[in-house]
Amino acid sequence: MAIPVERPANPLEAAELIAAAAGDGRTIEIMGGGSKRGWGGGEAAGDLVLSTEKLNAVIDYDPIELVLTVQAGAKLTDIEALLDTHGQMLAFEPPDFGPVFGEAAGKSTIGGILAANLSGPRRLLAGAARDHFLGFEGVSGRGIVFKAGGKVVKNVTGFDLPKLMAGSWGTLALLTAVTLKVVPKPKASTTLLVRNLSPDQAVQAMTRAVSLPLSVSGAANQPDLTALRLEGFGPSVAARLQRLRGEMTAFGEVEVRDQDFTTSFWRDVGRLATLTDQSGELWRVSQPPAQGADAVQTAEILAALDPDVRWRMDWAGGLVWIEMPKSLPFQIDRPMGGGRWSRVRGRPDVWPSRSDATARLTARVRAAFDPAGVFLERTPLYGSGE
Amino acid sequence: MSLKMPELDGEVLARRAEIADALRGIAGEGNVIDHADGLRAFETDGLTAYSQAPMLAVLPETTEQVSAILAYCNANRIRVVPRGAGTSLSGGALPLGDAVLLGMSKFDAILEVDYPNRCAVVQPGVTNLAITLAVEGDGFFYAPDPSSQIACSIGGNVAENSGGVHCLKYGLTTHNVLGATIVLIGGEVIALGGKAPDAPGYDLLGVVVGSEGLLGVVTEVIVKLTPKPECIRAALMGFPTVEGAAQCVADIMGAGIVPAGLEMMDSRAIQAAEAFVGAGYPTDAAALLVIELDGPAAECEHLLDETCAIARANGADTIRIARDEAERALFWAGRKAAFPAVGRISPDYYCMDGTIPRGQLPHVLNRIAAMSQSCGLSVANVFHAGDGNLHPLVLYNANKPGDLEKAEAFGADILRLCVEVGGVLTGEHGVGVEKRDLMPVMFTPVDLQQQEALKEAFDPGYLLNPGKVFPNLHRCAEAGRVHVHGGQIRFPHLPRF
Repeated sequence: MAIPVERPANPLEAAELIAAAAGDGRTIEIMGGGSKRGWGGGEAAGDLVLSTEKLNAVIDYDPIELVLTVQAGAKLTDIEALLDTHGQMLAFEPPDFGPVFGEAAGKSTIGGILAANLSGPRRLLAGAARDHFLGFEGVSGRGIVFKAGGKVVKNVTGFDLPKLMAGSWGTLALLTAVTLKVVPKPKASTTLLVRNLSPDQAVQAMTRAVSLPLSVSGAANQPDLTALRLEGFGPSVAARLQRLRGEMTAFGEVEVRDQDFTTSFWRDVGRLATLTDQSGELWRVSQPPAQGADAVQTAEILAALDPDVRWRMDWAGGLVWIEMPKSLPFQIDRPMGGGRWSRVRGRPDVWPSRSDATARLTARVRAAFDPAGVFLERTPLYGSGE
Repeated sequence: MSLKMPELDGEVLARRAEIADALRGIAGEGNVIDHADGLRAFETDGLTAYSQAPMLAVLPETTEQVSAILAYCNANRIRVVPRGAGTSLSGGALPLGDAVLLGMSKFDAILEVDYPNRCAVVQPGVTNLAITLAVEGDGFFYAPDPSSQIACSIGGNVAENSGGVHCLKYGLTTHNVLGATIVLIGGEVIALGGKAPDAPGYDLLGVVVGSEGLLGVVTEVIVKLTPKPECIRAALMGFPTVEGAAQCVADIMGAGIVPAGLEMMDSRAIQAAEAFVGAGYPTDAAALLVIELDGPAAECEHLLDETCAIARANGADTIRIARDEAERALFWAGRKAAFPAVGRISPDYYCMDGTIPRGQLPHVLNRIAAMSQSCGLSVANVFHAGDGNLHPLVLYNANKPGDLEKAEAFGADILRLCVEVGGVLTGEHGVGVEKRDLMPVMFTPVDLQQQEALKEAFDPGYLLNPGKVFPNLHRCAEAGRVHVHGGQIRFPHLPRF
């Protein structure tokens, strides 16, 4: 039987639905565009899907203030188009992950991006989604509309609940409206490519690059290709390019690419466009950047068994993606090294349930927002390696 | 004090000697203070309007001791007030008469500097500036720079989510802390965040930063290190109107220029600072901007040209670019001396800390001027203009009957105005006890109940730093501020901006 979908038109309607469900013990799956519904590989279904489809208005956008307030169901593509008319953007470069899960492009909503705390390559320099999330209005699991944070960048009034919402996957509250910091787009950008470095050498090169005062805004690696991005005002980019090129010559021959290449290349890095086998499993490994090569070495060992195992490294080594094809002769069910491993596509993680102090606190925090457990935990909140 | 704090717990006070013995058993004989003379050192923080000696003070040396102390206090329903360096401007470390003051000053070691991962692991009692001093020889710095950075501790910075002049470009504490070890009131020790970015799980670190000591006690912090910029340049820009200066700020930010610092002063602040320091400020200007740009030399040159052109287009009649490091330091000396300079022209002042949308600045300054007229008290304004963080200094004379009350009412009106135009009560000083009773101006009761529910998830008995942040004790119209008499601020060696 199909799960009913409700599309509240305003926060109060949503609050009524949530209060009613909490009252009679039903569970709700909050859904934005559904682009990342496959994240975590879980099949768990609630009694009701609460879609933010109708909560898609722009509430307040004053380009001069560099702040945007929108309803949470606003499409990322619409927000980007709006900001673009004023030469502005979201600095954390949110990627559209729909295609990663076999969904059409363009479905991502800003609420979904924030609920996943999903950030692109520029996270390296500009910070994650959570760092640009200034305030919100939402509905708790009690069915109560509340707000937190503010509409200004510098604010220490009360607990920083936007941080807690970012990455909570809809398990604490329904976001109905969100306020984000926006920034002007850089005037110039360029990409440096170095080829044929080993994963170790690539991490060394990226570490060197981001340790210099050059504001490198992207540092990614795929087999035999290391890429670094510089953005900003023309004269500044030119000066930094000269310095960075000199530094990178020690690692290999450097190619410099133009702004058009830079725009499309880094968009593809963010949305994992070169990992195209959607039938396989996709693993995400978060680790200290300088240890980035460790997870890659694991992937290389697997790739020796099955050449369709592919990996990508971002954030100067802090983030590694590993795609494992169905053809892999065995299943991976545990972390294959250090760092925090989580399986984002395929089957759910099967880590033993936790009962340590952090897990107990997490459960209490969840109950503080959603005492009845009305919001479905569809995506496992934890990876491995705690 | 007119400030209402939680009622003293007589049962706890009656057991004072026994509690002191128990704490000695945990932290060692020399690390428990129970004499009035010794306790006096802790009786106030940077908000000197209020003082209160704690019941006892304990200065633990290890995470295990902190854990045992909190577990003991939790089991015995004893309140705990954590304290870093005690430089809070909002009374965040104000003791309670029946509480144990938990001083973290002995946690003063830098445990690890990890350059490949661009971070350092430090104990919470390490001063903000000490981190930068430890790494600047290798080309790095710790970016947040609250004005008290020579004294304030990183643990306190985490508690308050401290900012500083350079947070416009480099972010607040929350953007520069990767992880922390905290001890919960039950004694559980948990690690939050870490060197691995954006790991799965709730961002508990994000909500602990800025929680003003209400959620846990930090015993270790992983801070992000930033490569030191190649070049730093500064300029002064004087404007005949506040509107011109405000539009200049909007145009600079709108052009995509992110200055390392962008400060504004109004005419009263300019004149006081110039009289005090002789920084060469244009004393006839209605508003002055101090702008700092950092980065590669080519970038600084380019952006200096751009910003000066923007300033001229907005009617700046004075533009001076610092020729060398000495002159750059002089430009800043005037700005950094604004608080003591105002202290010279008025017997008392107190400092507010609201943030407003930048575009509201002319309107807000006009409204403040009108309020000043009607209540008969002068005000000098200094302003972290780039991020809209306003520090009005209300001038009054505590010896003149009624002046203090007028000043406090004026201050509360300014903060209400900040909220009314879309801003917030506090940009960087914290709520503490100071703005506690104004919280309902910004948040509805249900907003506050949700925050309190989170507090209870961490500390169900409200034993950690009670009486701070939440106004649930009673509704008190009189909120204290940073009161300064005769220029005698606490920590007079610390610049305040």
